Amino acid sequence: MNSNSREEILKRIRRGLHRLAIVRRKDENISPSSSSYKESQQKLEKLHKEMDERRLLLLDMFMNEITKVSGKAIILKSEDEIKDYVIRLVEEHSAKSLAIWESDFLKQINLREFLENKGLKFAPPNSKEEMAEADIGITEADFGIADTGTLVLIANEKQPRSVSLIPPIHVAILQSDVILEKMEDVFAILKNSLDETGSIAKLTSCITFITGPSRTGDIELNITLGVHGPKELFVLICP
Amino acid sequence: MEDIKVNFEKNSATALKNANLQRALKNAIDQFRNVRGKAVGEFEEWEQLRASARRIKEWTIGQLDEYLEMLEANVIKAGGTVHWASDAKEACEIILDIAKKHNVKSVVKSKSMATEEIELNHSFEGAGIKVVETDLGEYIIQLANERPSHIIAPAIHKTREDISKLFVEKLNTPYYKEPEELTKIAREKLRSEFLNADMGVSGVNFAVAETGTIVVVENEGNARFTTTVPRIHVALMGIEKVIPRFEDLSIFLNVLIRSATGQKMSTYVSFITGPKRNSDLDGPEEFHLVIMDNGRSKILSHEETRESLYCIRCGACIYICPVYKKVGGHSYGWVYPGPIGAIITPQLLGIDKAHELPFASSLCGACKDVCPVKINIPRVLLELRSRVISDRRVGAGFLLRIAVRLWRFTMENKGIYNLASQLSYILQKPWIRHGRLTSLPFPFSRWTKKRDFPAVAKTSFRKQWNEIKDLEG
Repeated sequence: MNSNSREEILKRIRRGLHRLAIVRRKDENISPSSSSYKESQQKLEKLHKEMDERRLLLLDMFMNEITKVSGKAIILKSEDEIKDYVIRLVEEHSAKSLAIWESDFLKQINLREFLENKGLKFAPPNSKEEMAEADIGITEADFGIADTGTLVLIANEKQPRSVSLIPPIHVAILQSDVILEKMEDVFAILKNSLDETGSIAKLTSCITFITGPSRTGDIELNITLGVHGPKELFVLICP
Repeated sequence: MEDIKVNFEKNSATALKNANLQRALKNAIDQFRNVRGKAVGEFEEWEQLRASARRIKEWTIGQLDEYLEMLEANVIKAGGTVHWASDAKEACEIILDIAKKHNVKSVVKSKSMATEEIELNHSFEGAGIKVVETDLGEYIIQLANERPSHIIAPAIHKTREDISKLFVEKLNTPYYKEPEELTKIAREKLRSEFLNADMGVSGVNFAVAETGTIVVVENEGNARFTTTVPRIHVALMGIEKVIPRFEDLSIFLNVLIRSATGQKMSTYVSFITGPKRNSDLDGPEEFHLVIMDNGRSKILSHEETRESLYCIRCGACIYICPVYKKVGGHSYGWVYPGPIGAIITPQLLGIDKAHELPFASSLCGACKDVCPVKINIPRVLLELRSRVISDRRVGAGFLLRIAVRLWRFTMENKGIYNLASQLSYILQKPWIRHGRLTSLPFPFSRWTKKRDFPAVAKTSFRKQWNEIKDLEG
């Protein structure tokens, strides 16, 4: 029944469009707006150069925008400052259980061990019940978008998606050299993770854009924070 | 779905008398128009962006079969399963089958117009499976046992007092009035639903052909829960949701989000490619994409109205429409309200089921001006009006045909026109109230029942014009 519907639907579409013969196009012509693979590589190089030149400006833009959407951004200058800040948050919110990513930078600064030594517990991300008890989730953004104050989180085996979703407080580390200017720059870079045939080998199961804490306007368009996702978002920016 | 028949005249008359609704609509709409205007105004290249979005839609729909096949292949490559549904019934059957096969007891849903369209909740309930809407607005609507009245803000017609009473009645909570308190209750109730659900059903804002990625845009995080926590994720999309490339998303996310809520960026955008990978610690074990036609290929086959399929469901036309602002979403009788509903409902349900809708517009064109993919809604409305009029079941009757001929004859003959206007000047006298005609006898009463008609002037415009010209000499 199912495979039948497939043929029926495609047949109806072809008939409706008066498309008798199907001419396969080369991948380069897939849509009118898009650039070729080669062009996107060149764009990427240019992008990285610009990022280096304009780092301070982009940082400023990012801070400005994230504040507008009720996120809190803090610039921290060293490993110790990050640890101090996290401990302060833990104390302020009397957090007992945390969840954390195993991303490279977080491992490098040994944040998890540091917190474990302070007597804190960590919820395993594959247990939704234990995740539901976690008070703070700690992640590291793969990119930032300055124009909108957005964090880009790429899920993989070390970076489970529920850490930025289930705990009521989300703390994201953002290194200033991954702040891009616009949303389209993220797509240009992610495109680089596709190979020349457009294969999805490197695109992971989930990429998430996060711009501020969870919000709703469903009651009289009145903005209320923390309806399902985190109520508070802290972005700790390292230069 | 077959037995739906829209009665716009009756529905709108009821809505106009509902003072509470009028207040809720006015507040929300005024506020929204303001915010959207700012979001669009600050974007310098808005017009180029609209033009690009339009061009990509034209291109994609023009070879839709190929892009759907590409999408299918790439979803499968990422480990997902693809199903094709010819109509609403088949879509429900497919989703129910998946649920039964996995012994699903409870389902969480994030907001999706496509699932409203097929009345998926009824199917689940009929099979004894619990289904919970998790978008706050949809949750409120589900508790009230109603239909959404706007595609972005489903509970826009309800005031906070309405919602407070509803929560007291259905959830046995104390009477809280502030949106913050009401939201907190919903958060707690829905948290446990998310953790207990076996299956999550979401919609699709865009499906990227070249990567097999589905994109879901939201602010609350309920769609993230729906697509992350339960062990099965089912996404339902209409055939028109596909776009070619990953990078086209920067155009479409920009036009969608700014038009839909007036934000620069929504709180969450999820790009989902297949189920969780083996090494991932969380995410659903299975991902199913259901690609549904349900009348869309029929729209495609009419070149004059094909652009109806370019719609990205942002809801901007709904908020801007002066008719919607007065009659509200429920008057449109089905899941799609406002100008977009007026063109899509008759085409999806059949022209005889919703023949009043193409006329539920003053053709002012505000919808066309705000549409981010530049759908010429007034032109489509005119085309549909002509289809209604020539339809044997619901079209013009004998008397109307005669009347229109008579009107045409009068308008084409100067002498008769002058005679007719002088005659009406004399005949109207008994019915004039403060310079207006407020209640004429049948058949003219069909006009004056709804609105006044200005009284016919003594001197015709043509005569006045000539006199002024002579004076100015």
